[in-house]
Amino acid sequence: MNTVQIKRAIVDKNAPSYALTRRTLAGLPGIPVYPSGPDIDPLAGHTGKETLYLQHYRGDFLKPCPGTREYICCGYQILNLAANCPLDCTYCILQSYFINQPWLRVFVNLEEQLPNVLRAIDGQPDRIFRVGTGEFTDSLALDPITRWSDMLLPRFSRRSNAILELKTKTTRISRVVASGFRDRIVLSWSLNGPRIAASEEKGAASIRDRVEAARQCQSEGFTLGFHFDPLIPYPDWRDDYARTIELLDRKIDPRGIIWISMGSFRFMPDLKPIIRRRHPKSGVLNGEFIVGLDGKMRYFKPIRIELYHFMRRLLETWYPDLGLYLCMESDEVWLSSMGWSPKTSSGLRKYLDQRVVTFFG
Amino acid sequence: MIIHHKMAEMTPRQVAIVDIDESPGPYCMSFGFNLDTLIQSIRHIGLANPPILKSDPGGLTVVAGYRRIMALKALGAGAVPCRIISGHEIPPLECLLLNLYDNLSTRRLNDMEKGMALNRLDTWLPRHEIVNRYMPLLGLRPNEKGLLFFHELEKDFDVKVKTFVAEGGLSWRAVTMLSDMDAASRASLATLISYLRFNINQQIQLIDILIDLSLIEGKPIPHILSELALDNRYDGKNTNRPQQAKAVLNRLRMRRNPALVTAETRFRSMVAHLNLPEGIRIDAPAFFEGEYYRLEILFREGEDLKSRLEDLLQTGKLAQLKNPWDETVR
Repeated sequence: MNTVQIKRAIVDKNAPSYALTRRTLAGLPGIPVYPSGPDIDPLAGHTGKETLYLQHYRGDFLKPCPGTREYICCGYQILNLAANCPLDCTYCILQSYFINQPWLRVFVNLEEQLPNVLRAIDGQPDRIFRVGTGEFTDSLALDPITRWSDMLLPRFSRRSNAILELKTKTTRISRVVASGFRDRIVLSWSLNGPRIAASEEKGAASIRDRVEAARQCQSEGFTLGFHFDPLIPYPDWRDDYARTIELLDRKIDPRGIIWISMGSFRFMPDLKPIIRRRHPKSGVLNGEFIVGLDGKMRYFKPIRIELYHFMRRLLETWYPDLGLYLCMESDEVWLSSMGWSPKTSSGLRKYLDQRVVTFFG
Repeated sequence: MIIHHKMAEMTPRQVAIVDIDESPGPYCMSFGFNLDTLIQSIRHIGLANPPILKSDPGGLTVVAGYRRIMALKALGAGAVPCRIISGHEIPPLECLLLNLYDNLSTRRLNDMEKGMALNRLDTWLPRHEIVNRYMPLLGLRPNEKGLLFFHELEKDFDVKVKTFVAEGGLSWRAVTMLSDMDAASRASLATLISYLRFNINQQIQLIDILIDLSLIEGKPIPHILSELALDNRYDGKNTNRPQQAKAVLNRLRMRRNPALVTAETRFRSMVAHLNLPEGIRIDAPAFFEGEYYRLEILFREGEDLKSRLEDLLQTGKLAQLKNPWDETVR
């Protein structure tokens, strides 16, 4: 699998002095490197995933997940390392989210800003920070080049009120496995049915390879998480998702799973024409979508309930204490599909924080 | 512009209407216009601004003032005072621009006329200039596909579609969506939209659903539309066009979103079976996404409200009202 095919790098005018810039460019020997300038049009051509932009980022590195009030949100915190993703999943919301910010963007002042992030975490010792890097990029796809894990694992492993979750669809685990840090680190894989993975998750590892990578990490002492998101119904979806869960059953010890989330495909309406244009053969738009309370398109409620109920039944048959939760769903859908509800975003945060305490103390 | 200097030197002279080519010709961009106001104006104050004609070996072609000439003809005039330029003096592009700016200074072109203007400019100017300069000048978003669609409209579509466009019936969003389709789909959809006169929201829905269905079912859009026509649902004798348009949309919605439309139908049926007292209604949240249904009671004063609530509670079937999908899920 070759998930990253970077063919050129562009270096922001403030970026050359950073160690992360030098390290990243050293990881890409032989590619042309250009300084950013007015003659480089970020929107020209179709080289978005082949161009790495090393950028000094001026925004906040730690941000709450952009959940909406209308649905129950888990209260995740995003550590903002990069924008855009070398994988090319047809359903990816980043296609519209970062439409005016193309290229793979790596924020090279991370090391400089990380102390501020950690100070913010340490400043609230009674609060548990569930921090992830996989919201605006894949956590591990660029790790062999950027070596983010070298920087992050030791720092988060030492915190008493935080965990770091690295979420991926790749098998790029060599650096995290080689590190000596296991405490308060969660390695997570986004999973789907094998058919969706093959047809809609371009550049990602197969489900078999992802689960095998998870098995290796578990055998190396890591706590695991899984995310069935986006669940996508299509003819035979039940059989396909059951195959993935059977694979988990064969390879993974469920007692080492801190949580498994489920979410169904949802997107802002402006993503639809982008998917139609960029992925004309994709089937992800074929379902019955309605406009949700937050303005996003999502499956008609009984379809979502059916998806979650089916998955929950299989997963709980495998192991009854997997930390199952729904991503951005209503109290009604929770009750109908999961048999219980955290009622509010605060309730879900407490449930997941308790999982952290149970696993890491 | 050369023409500007030439015209300043010209004195209008009377030209017999029969000597003027009656077609709009290569410079005029008039379509679907109503002459009544212009006729009234000429009747009251006469012709304030003489038309401009171009004299070619083939005859006299209208450069500007086509509608004025048509109005004078309708008034029974035998001759029109015109300024005449000779063909070899003025390049065609200048004639075209004269007409365009003359029109823009006095009226708003309808969408069909904008298309005509763009098509004529396309003969003389590079496409990027038309897209970036003239489309915005006409109040259109610069979009090459949109430009090509206007080409087709004038060249390939019948008067009914053109008239619908001229009346502002086709939204720009719909034009953009149609522009992304193959020519056969575009033609069949534009014809259907103009025939049943879908409103702007319906146009977007219709096109969106048909694109989805075409991809999901692997059938070309004209094929799906022909299946609808075979059903004979939108050509019924007893319904008017808005009703037919709604019926077409409903049939397509059912095909695209069967679970949602079935739930909506079942909900309406469940509510109907409650036999709610007059002045009381129950509505579902949009797409059933919200958690709560809405009960609405019309009443005059407290006693009336009490009485209506008692009537409502007498409706023994209230507890039968359930989510309309409960029996179908799982």
